[in-house]
Amino acid sequence: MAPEPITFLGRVKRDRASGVVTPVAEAARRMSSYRVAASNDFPLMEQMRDRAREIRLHTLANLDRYLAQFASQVEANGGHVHWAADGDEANAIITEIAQANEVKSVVKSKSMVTEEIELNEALEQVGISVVESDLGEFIVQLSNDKPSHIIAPVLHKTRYDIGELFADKLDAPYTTDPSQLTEIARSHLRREFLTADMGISGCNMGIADSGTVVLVTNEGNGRLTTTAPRIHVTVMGMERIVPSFADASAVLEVLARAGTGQRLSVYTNLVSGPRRHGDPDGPDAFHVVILDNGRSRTLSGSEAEILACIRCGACLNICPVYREVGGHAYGFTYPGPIGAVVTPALKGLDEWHELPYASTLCGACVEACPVRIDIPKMLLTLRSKAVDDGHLPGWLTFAVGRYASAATHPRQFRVLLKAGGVVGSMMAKDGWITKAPSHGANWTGARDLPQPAKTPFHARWKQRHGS
Amino acid sequence: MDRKGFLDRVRQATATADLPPVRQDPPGALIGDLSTADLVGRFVERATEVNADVRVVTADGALEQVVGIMEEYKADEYLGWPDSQMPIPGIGAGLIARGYSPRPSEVPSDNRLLHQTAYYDLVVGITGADGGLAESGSIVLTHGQNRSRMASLIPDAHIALLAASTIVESLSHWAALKSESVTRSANLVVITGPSRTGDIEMHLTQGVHGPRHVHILVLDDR
Ligand code: SF4
Repeated sequence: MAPEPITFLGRVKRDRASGVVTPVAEAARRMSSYRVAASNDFPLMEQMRDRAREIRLHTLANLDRYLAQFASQVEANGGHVHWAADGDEANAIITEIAQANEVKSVVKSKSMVTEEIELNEALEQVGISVVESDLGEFIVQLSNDKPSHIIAPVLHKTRYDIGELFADKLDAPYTTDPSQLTEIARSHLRREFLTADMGISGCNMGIADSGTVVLVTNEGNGRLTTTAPRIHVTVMGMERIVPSFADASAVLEVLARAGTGQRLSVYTNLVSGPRRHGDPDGPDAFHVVILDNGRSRTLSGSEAEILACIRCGACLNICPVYREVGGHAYGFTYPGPIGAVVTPALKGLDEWHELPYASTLCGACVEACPVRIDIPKMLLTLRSKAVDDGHLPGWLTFAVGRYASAATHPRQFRVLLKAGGVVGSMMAKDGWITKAPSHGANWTGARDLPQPAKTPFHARWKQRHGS
Repeated sequence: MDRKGFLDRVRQATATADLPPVRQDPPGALIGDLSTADLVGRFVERATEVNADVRVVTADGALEQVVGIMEEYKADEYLGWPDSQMPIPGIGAGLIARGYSPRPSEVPSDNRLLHQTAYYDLVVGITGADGGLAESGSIVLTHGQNRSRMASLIPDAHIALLAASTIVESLSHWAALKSESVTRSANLVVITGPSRTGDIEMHLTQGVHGPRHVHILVLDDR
């Protein structure tokens, strides 16, 4: 799937013009400040981050072993395990489970991985109705939109947008009060949720030694989806494994703190198979679909560490680029710094070679990341791979070509610098060039350029020190 | 794809994975020093911070508190766990004696859908808790043995009964000490305050799909 419109810059311009990025910066800044406050409040935060990182890396290095153990334990608990090489296979497996069990309606809890494989579309195509139960995802679904943040899907919408949407689509009285809007969604959806035949969830973690799926939510949709319907299907990216409950605890200790600034999210839901003898409720059947979809390729190479990600969203919140461009500009399910690495890693550089440039390499993301993933390092590696693959951005080819020629001819170099100073001062306003012509427009289309000095450095040096 | 093919591919990938040096054994929980002279006090403080209503009660006074909450919600029935599964004895029997009626919690095997919607309008759910986590103000619930999951999920208000002696420092402590709590039942839930969302302009709203109100009665059994 190629992104639409086709260039990163094109998407940025579209979203800035439509105003969807306007609420993003402030919300992201607030979420970052919650993370900082929660981290400062927890005396073990730094140690716990190190521990969570060690756990994630240890698991990745031994992933085949832990996946095998996890699958065997799920089966021992009475669940079914399915292996999907890609999104199409996963969608086919889930559709088959639904059809074999005469499922007509599905309720889903928030899950990025099902966005990644476009599961809703696949189910709707065969006539199964799908309802998103996370409030943000429900709003996304109702407005035919895409999530713009991995834990706050409608960060880009205002209460006014949502008020209008509910008035229009749900026939609700127009209001802009978030509590009332939440109440409208709750009452509209409750019966639908409760009568669904099948619940589909993502998976924050799979615990290998007990075959347990861990689901973290604040609203309770992760519990609803796994309690009321007669069938529960979990879709799990293959990297979401940890060895034991003890290991899971360290990850949970940092996850909510980094994501929303909570000590723990409201519901940490651990599901180990279908309901057992003596359980008054819970699903009769439990399935786990384990998804590769580019992950084994990622694991085999220089971006392996990105699979340690616990999807907290902290790197999005802190990223100066994300704050300015919002989530949709990244063109795929995973926005922000994590997306700039994971999208090209999972989907290949051919269509996604621009994303590694959607960063200033300032390093704020490593600082914020609870498992200290070195995102800037991977962005650089990806950039160099993209260049090796012949994906040098056009303006850069031109500029580097000119520079190579000038740098080896000192006279030409001096003439060009001088010319640059003169032309630059003609184009600049208040010391900044905001609109450069020709290839230069590719730079100034996205950012301003400081006006070059009228007299080049080497000339000033000569004036001061002679020769 | 079949299991073997899938896992072979993963094995090959791990062989060339470019990862920093990793520990040989699974690292496990980090048990740092979170000690406090007053574990229960910290639990009460932290659970209150996440908007739970916490009351420390005696065995004799617990029933009065529950009745008070029932009256607050004008509820005459509830969905609850049986007394045998509760850390504070006699609450169910006491409620029945006072004319309150518990709703059956079993899934009728012939009408699953009826069960799914049975508690749609129910206002109060009453459960026990296996333990508490002082650091985060959370309660831990395992399900099974007639312990309904829906009781802490569907009603508007959740009353949880907790023995002070089962409160530990943190989730890490719980996971390290009580790992069998995960394998023992098909469902374990850690609950930290009432259901909430910040999805609309990060405005905190309580009670989305789960209960809007959580009342925790801590039995002082130390
Ligand atoms: S890369 Fe790190 S900060 Fe970003 S979402 Fe993943 S875990 Fe969170």
